[in-house]
Amino acid sequence: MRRGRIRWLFAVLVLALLAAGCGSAGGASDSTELKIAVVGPMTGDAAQYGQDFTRGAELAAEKINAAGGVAGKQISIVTFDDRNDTTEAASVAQKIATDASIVASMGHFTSSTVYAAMPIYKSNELPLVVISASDPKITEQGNEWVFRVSPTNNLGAEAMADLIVKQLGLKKIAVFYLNTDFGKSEREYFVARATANGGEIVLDEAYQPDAKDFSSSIIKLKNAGAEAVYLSSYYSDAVLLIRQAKDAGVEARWFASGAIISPQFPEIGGQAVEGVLTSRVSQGESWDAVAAEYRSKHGAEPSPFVIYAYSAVQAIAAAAQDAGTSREAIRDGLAKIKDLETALGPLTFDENRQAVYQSFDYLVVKDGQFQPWQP
Amino acid sequence: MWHEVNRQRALTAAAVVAAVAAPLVIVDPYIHRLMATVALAAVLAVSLNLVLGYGGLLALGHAGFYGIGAYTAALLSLRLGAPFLLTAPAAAVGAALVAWVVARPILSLRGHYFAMAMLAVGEIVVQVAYNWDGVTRGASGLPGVAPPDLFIWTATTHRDNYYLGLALLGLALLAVRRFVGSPLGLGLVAARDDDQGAASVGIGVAQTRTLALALAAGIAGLAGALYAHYITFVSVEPFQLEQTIALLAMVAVGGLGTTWGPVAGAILLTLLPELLRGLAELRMVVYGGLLMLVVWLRPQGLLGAGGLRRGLRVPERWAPAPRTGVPADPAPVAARASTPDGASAAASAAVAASRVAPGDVANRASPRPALLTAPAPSASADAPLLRVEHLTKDFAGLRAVADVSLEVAPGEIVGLIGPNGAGKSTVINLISGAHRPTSGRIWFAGREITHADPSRVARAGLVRTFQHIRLFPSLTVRQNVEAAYQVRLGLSFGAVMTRSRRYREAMEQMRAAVDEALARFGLEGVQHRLAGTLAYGDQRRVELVRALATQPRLLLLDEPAAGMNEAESAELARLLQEIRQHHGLAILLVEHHLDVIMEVCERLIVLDHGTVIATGRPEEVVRHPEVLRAYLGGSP
Amino acid sequence: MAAVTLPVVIDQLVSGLAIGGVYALVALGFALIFGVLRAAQFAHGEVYMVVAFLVLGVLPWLPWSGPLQFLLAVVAAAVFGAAAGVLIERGVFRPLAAAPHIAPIISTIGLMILLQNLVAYLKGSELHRFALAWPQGNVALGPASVPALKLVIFGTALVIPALLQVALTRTQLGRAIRATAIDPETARLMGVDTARTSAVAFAIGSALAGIAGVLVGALYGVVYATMGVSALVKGYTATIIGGVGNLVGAVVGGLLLGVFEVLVASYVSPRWTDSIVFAVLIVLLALRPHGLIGRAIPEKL
Repeated sequence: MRRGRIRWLFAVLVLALLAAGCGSAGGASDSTELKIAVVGPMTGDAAQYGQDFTRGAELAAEKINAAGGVAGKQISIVTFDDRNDTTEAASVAQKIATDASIVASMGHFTSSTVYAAMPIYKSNELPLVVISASDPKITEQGNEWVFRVSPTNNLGAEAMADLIVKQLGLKKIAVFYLNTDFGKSEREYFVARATANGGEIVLDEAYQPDAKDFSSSIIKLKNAGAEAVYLSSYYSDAVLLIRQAKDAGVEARWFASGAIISPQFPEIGGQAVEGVLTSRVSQGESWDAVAAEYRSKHGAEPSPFVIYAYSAVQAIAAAAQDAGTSREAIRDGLAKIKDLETALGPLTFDENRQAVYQSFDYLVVKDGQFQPWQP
Repeated sequence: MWHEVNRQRALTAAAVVAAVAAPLVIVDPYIHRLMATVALAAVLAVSLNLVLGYGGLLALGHAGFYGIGAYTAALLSLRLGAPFLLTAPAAAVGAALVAWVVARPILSLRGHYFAMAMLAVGEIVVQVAYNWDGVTRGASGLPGVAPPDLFIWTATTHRDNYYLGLALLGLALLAVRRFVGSPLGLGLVAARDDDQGAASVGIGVAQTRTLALALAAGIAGLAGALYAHYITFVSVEPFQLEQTIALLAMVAVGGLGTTWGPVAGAILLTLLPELLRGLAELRMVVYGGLLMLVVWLRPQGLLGAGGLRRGLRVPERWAPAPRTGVPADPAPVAARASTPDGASAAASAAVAASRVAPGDVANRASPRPALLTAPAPSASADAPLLRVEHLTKDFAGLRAVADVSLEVAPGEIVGLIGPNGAGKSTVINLISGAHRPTSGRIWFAGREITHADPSRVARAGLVRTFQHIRLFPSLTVRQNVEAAYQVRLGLSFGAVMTRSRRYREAMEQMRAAVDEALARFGLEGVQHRLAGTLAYGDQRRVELVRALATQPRLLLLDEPAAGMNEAESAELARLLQEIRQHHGLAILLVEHHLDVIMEVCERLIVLDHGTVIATGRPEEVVRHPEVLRAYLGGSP
Repeated sequence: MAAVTLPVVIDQLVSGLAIGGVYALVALGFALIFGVLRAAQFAHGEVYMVVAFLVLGVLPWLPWSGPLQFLLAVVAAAVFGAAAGVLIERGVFRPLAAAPHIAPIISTIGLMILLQNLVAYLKGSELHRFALAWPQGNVALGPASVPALKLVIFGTALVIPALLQVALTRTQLGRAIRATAIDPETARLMGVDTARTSAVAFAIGSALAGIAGVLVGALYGVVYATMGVSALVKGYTATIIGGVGNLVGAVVGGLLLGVFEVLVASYVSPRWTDSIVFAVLIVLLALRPHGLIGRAIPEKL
């Protein structure tokens, strides 16, 4: 009986191994392919961001392949799951780096996972393009294999501070920020710029990443006399915070970081989030057509992470086209990119391999959609 | 038995060789990375197993100690530029210290209260690390930790770090094995089996558990240091509740309280999600399902003991006679051979031998082990050994014991009788420290013990047995006795971990003493059986030997003849008299069997409705009208 | 720091009691299951999550108006929860009845991982809108104006435990459950069908979790695949605060936890709320090792 059970167990484990083997045996190495790894949270809390990465990257690959590929090769996207966990991120980075057919990697959602994985990309000499992690120090580590197409937090936050205080003349501002590296550094830039512009921060409140109940903060907000509220948040926190505040009768104008841009924001927020203002890196002229295609394919507005992933593939492809398709060539090619036309507009990396940004667009939620804002 | 041991050694050696050779044969750095992850997980699982498997404590905050180690190492490395060889011990000490401090208020908690408190500790560690921006950089984490530097060699590759992890694993296994295989380990397991039983023989339950927790935390802290230097970046994610839960699963899936179980669990549960990577988004679904399946197929764990309900058996360190033992003391052997009543003669020889003046003992090559030695008589022989004054206990408004005063003189056997519900067991519980009295005071051997906890009362020489036998079921008969005996050895943690000379001598002493005691009570034939599997009468005897092993001056026996037939209770009465005769210890006996009472007691105290209604010589007391009324009921 | 005025304090208390009511229901279910099976149901939070998603699925078929819709959603949650509970009791706990205590814990951890990821796989890991049409708007409560929904949730979290208490004391089955909770062995000897009582207790406990899931969905207007994790931790904490296996304690523990969290977040900082709650919990346990209301089950030594 017991022996029988043990056999059972082994049988099942073997089956599982087989299943796993079949699953991963998908893409054999092929010299006509340019393989790019997309890594991020594909399962767990933040899986939707990993999905955005994948969708953006695949859409870009499709476009480029349809136009003839890169240096005679077709781009192929392979996805990897790091569950948004530092230990996993290091493991996955090694797995990616070990696969000689992969010439570049992009992703890792948070700065923590990027930090855990960075040394591994360096020691294995594989270029990594960061597409969301926003700690400014990532590109200050002197790791010449790590590039970033997404903006650090200062630009969007400063654009919002200018809009609120200078353009709209709202002086009393409440700030809510997600207590992560992203939220903290965004808030810092926002507060610095807003006060420099003559605004007054009447409430400055952090909340924890798993927060869903904002009642205590909202009670403070009710009594703070704010004219404007700025959120350094993702959509999931922002939508709950705004809804709960409106239910509690808070009267103020709402502004939020570009990270809230996601189809779920207006969908869940409904009437409560109408009129919320946010900003997004100005997109290139090519983007509108791509966005339309994305909408028809996935039935949703592309989030900024889709755009960053899309642009990262464009940058890698351009580097491979110019400098060659080896890992080292791609690294060199990326470093030389200047005014490359991407979905984000003209892309240039500075000496720290950080993309340089100038202009931001303001968006407003109107009729359940993010739309360009006209003053 | 030796065959079995050799087979196990061969297997262990093969595993070590394979573990060392594998990364030399397989050159894929991704595999090396996985192996390093497995090694770290195994170190953590082995350390958790000490607390969870052997200690029976649901430590839901274990990953917190891992985190303390990692942050300590990372901060020392970043702020002071300290190399791994310095940060690692600091991390271990830091984690162990925190465990030591928090253990104080927590370890008296039971079951889920303890689990919750540990969960709280783990969460606080994570929250503080996450929010103390000035020191830990909060959510941004600490990048740029130097790779492990051992002065002559720096671990740079995954393989190097794997070897470091492997060395750590060896260290962890050795440390856990030494602790568990020592008398302290016996105390830990005894407390897991039955913490009140353990306290009743003087085992410092909280102290032992504190040591185990601190040791486990120290090992986890070491693992944290390696993690920090290996990954070179520290943030809170790997130290959260999810990590503890994963470790819990590893230990349980591998086999609680087994040496290699946690290692097997760590290998399986670390590799499983990797192997399932091909399933993409479904992989964690399948992982969860497989976890359930493994538990369903082998609830006791992969390497857990098959039949045993608790899935644990502590290896008997002294089971096979060591080939180089101390020369046996010939005296008792001779006595045993030459007297018809061998057992008691041997005992009296032992007593005689042990009553040699201290100076003489010191001069002997091998000091006589003295399990059943009477302690030195107290200063004034006439003063009562136990004095209870105006003892009162209320349970939720119900007065169970009301103003009871009694005395027991040294060497006296006193019976405490009364009808059901008279409060006899409550009096025993109050005297032994299991319950706190509402009012009244208790003195033992001239010292007040009114508010002392049970293990301190026991160490003072006042030892009780229980109405329902409370042996340690997952320990053998021998280990049950050793667990009680070791208390008086007062072994230090350092002695246990280093196996010092003093430790080895103490072990020899214990082995000989326990041998003798088991022989005298006719238990040598069953000494390697699990205590829970013995016949009832044998269990009673084991309980008695276990109590005597603590060298008591007063035994509180709570219905020792309960459930015995006439022949057995007669045998018990004989045994009690013999014990008293040879040890000069006093006995306070609660008993329903009047024949036992009448035969052995010199004095009776009769309780009814929580008050003393009569006291005196047995034959007088049984004729006392109050006593008759209490027993027969109704009006006089 | 928020100003301490009466409307503010009322606002804070109502918020705390609403979320505390949800904790209380989760804790009550956990305590009931623990009491009868003497086993921790670590997938309890997942029952809460799965039921919330199931109710979200049937919401379009419920009459779209007024209190009736709210009531039907609660009833549906209870039914789904009870069904899930019976399945888990039969599928996970009963086969492991004779196994070591750790086995059901690990098995329910496996179930937790499985359900959480399965729902994320099927429905996506993003937030899903969960909208009940009733109650909406604010009502005046003394000098304060508070959301009616919070009062309804708090009320539900009081009424349901009260009904349960009546059922446990007045019915044959309820008495059997209580007897099993106090001493399973004796209950069995006295002729109680403990297999049936544990199934029923599991069903009721899981129904309570399901109701809590729907209430929290209504409170925040969203449900999501990982919502069960924090529910489990909060429910477990509340159970411990009250005293393990103590049903009144579970409710009191839940409400206290909710109010305490809001007050700490208001007057200290939301960032330090968890640390402070857990630190206070440790102090509480050091002072009262069996929770606020629980007492040591008097053991015959």
